[in-house]
Amino acid sequence: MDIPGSQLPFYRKTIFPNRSLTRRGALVVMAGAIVAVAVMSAVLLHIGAWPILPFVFGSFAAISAMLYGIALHRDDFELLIIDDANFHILRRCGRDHSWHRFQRYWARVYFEPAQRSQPARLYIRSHGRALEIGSHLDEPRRRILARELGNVLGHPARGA
Amino acid sequence: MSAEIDAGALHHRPAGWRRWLYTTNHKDIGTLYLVLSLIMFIVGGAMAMLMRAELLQPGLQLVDPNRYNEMVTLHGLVMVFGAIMPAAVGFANWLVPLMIGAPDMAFPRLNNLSFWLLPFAFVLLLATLLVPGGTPGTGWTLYVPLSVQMGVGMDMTILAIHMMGASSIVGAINIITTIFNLRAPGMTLMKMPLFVWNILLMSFLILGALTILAATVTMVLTDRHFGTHFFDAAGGGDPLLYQHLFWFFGHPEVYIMILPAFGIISHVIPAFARKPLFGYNSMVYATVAIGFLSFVVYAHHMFPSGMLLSSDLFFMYTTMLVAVPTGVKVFNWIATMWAGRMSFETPMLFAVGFILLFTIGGLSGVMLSVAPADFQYHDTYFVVAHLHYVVFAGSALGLMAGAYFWLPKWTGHMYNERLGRWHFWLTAIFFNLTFFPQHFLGLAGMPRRIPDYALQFTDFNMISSVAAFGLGLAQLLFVYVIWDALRAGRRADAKAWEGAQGLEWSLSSPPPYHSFAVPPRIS
Repeated sequence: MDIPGSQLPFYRKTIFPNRSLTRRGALVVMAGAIVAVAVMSAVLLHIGAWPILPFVFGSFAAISAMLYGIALHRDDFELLIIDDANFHILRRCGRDHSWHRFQRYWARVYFEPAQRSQPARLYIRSHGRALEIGSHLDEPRRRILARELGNVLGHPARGA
Repeated sequence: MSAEIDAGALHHRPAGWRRWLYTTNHKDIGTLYLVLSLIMFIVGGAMAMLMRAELLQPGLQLVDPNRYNEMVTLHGLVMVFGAIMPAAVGFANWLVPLMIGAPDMAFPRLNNLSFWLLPFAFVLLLATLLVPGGTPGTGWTLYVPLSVQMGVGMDMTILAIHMMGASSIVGAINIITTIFNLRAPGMTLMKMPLFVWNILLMSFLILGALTILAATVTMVLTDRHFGTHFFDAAGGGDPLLYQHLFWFFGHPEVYIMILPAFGIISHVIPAFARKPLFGYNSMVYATVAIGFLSFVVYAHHMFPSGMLLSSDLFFMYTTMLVAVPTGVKVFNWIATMWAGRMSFETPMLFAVGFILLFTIGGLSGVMLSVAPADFQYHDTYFVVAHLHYVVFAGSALGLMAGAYFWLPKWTGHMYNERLGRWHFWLTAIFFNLTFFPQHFLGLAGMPRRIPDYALQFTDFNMISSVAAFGLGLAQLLFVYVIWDALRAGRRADAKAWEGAQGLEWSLSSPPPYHSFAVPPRIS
């Protein structure tokens, strides 16, 4: 992926959630669900129990929504690239793509540990902008990432 | 993405009551399910004690027939939906993420919702005892036309069933998604622990069966209040349609209850035989076969209802067929024990007890599957004995084996082994004394679901009742063992049992609140 204005990176990390259901696996599950629903619907219609069909379709819709949600986020990732001048963050979440750039010299890493009603968060901040990164990670791995980024940027991460 | 600050997906650990009310952590929710299950087990058990007290002698002593029928209904519903199923889902919540190397369930907030629907459902169900007309005296099957004629308690029961069904379906979708999508890198389906396989199949059965139940009781509701006649013969409906629909749910429900126990036993036996499980692949295929067959055998509950002969034959043969994959499982468990370096700690005692007693239940099931014989056994105490050998000796003993096996992992404390063994032996002895004589009562023609009986049934009923009180008291020992382990049990190692295998044993006991910070890689 080409990033406008990027130079030779000396730090590059891709963060993505673990997804074990493959595209083919999802198709198999979906096909199985369709066959099951079709057979059940035919039998229920045959014996005159048509009011059951909306419930069956409701369950099918719930399974479909689950598979759709998984498919939508199968390719989510965050790509962190630090080169001589900039800290680039490329992100894909569902259908949305975004690209954020911070000046490397001014970028600071903030780690906010979990508090009463807030989960732990990892931010990159600079010039009044803040961007949360690593939301796919759990707290220990976020903390490790914060320290790693702080070392690369030359400014130890606050709170980590 | 335009917003620069995303909601974090991380859990934290609130304190006090908020921790339990708002929790999205799979371990907390698993604990909630298990505690609820234990409470409902005691509530349902108390109802059973009342029934057995009434049956201690012929004649009416303690409760009037209507109240007895209410106890029959509530005992069934509470034990099935309140004790066994929540226990299975509690095990799933605790263990599935740990066994597949996932940080949590796929939908943590849905997980919270699916638990918190349950307490309200059971309050509603038990509150039917207090309303005019009381709890429906229909038994857990809620057969029409009786269920169409009952009072407001029936409407409350239907709503409670809807809530339980919604909870189960949401939970099942969560489990399916978690197992399919959050397995650790390298953990293919055929490398999954057998407990996870059984829970996966259980979840699919829940989706298929509970949906039908929810819809069926809705049809009863519309018959009651909206002028429909789905089940009313006078209005052109068919009461037998209800039976078909109920048992299309009801029979898979039996497998929903037994599959988690199958999974648990498949972990306990290899651990205490100190051998890998014999025939992993065949166990997986047998589980899938049982799941499929469970939907095509249901009408063996309706042999005397006057179905076509061809239907009787079809359901008779398919029911007999279930014995094949079940036999494969029993064979594999025995083959795993064969020539193993076995030791008999409490979980292993429960596992061996499970195999012996569940096999008795399976054999009486084969007897019941023979249509001509079933005409004689139907609605007698033979069926009561059979179902308790399957549901108590199968599901409940399996779950107890699992509770003792993973209690050190969950709590970080070992239980008192001596008390655990006492619990097993008292349970096994009193269980057999309670339910084995009921086979003879059934064969002699004693009908089920009655508070009174003919004099010739007195002796066996007295034995059964006295033993039932012992069985009930023995379960209080189970509660004490858990409490004692939490209070004074010695610290458990990460791998509490020498022969235990699996990802969950690679974590500390108890596991950290957020486990698998780094996803394990399965080779």
